[in-house]
Amino acid sequence: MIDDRTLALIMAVLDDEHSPEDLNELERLAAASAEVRDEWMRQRRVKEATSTMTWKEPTSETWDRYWMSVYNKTERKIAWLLVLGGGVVLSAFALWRAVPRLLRSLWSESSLPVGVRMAAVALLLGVLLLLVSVLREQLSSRTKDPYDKGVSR
Amino acid sequence: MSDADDSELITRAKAGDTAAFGALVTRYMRQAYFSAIGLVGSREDALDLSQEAFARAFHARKTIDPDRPFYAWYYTILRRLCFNLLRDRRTHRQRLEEGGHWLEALSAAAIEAPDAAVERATERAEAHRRIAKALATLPDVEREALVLKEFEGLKYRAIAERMGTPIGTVMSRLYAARARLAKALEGQ
Repeated sequence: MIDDRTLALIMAVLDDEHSPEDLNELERLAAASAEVRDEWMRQRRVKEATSTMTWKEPTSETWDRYWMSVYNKTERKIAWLLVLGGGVVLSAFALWRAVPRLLRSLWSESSLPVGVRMAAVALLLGVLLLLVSVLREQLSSRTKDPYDKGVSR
Repeated sequence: MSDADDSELITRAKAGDTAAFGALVTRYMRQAYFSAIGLVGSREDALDLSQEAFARAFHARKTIDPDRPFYAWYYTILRRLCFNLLRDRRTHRQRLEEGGHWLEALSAAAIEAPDAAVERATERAEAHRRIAKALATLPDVEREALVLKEFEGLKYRAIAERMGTPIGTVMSRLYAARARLAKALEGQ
């Protein structure tokens, strides 16, 4: 079993982030242990393979269109924000005007069938339940997000 | 504009100069695309996410500190978008494209003499094929550490800053990634 210090030395030497003392220490360890020697060779083979690989370049048109695509995305974000903002305000206003009327007529109009009254109550309860459920999910995913720790903003 | 340094472009972008932000995008688009492809392993997603991250950076440009490296700040946005996509993919049981779709061998001339043995070239091609295949199966954070080291050529300290982890963690993730690739190379 190779200890963490030796593994760290192997990594540092492979990645050329070692001091002369590190290299001496690893060479000493490798001379004394076949296991260390084998692991060093194994890791070196991987390093040799990965260091002779590179990114596949996309077509030049990708780069030509890149900034325009970013620009379109930012523009659309602003457009969506305006549409959503306006929509939310208008919907809130419509609800504010319509809901009291609807509730009043549900309450006072005895001619309304029971089914309609029950549907209205079901709709209100459903909307409330959805709201609570979505809020709870958002809260729990935010507190349990495994990638949150690694990202600082 | 293209000669201006990052700090100057950021200051102008913060003042509402879209062209200055465009110059920053043009300067870092390749790095952004390749960072994303190393994380999500799909060309289309990498293009879309790197552009989306720039769009978000544009909307948050008031918070950029002109005295700090722009790309390190941008990378935190890109990284979050990429990891969110990976999490969604896991939910939908989708897999990464094999590395062979987004990696290739350096030209032989760049790495060895032209008279190198054909046998050696075949051996190397097989090693590349196995590595490319195994890359897609690495855990996300191990693949990220390996990509930042091998394909972006960053030092441990820079990788640690990008990943928001101590250097020791970077080294252990690199070791774990390479150990898995070693197994793939040995055909296990």
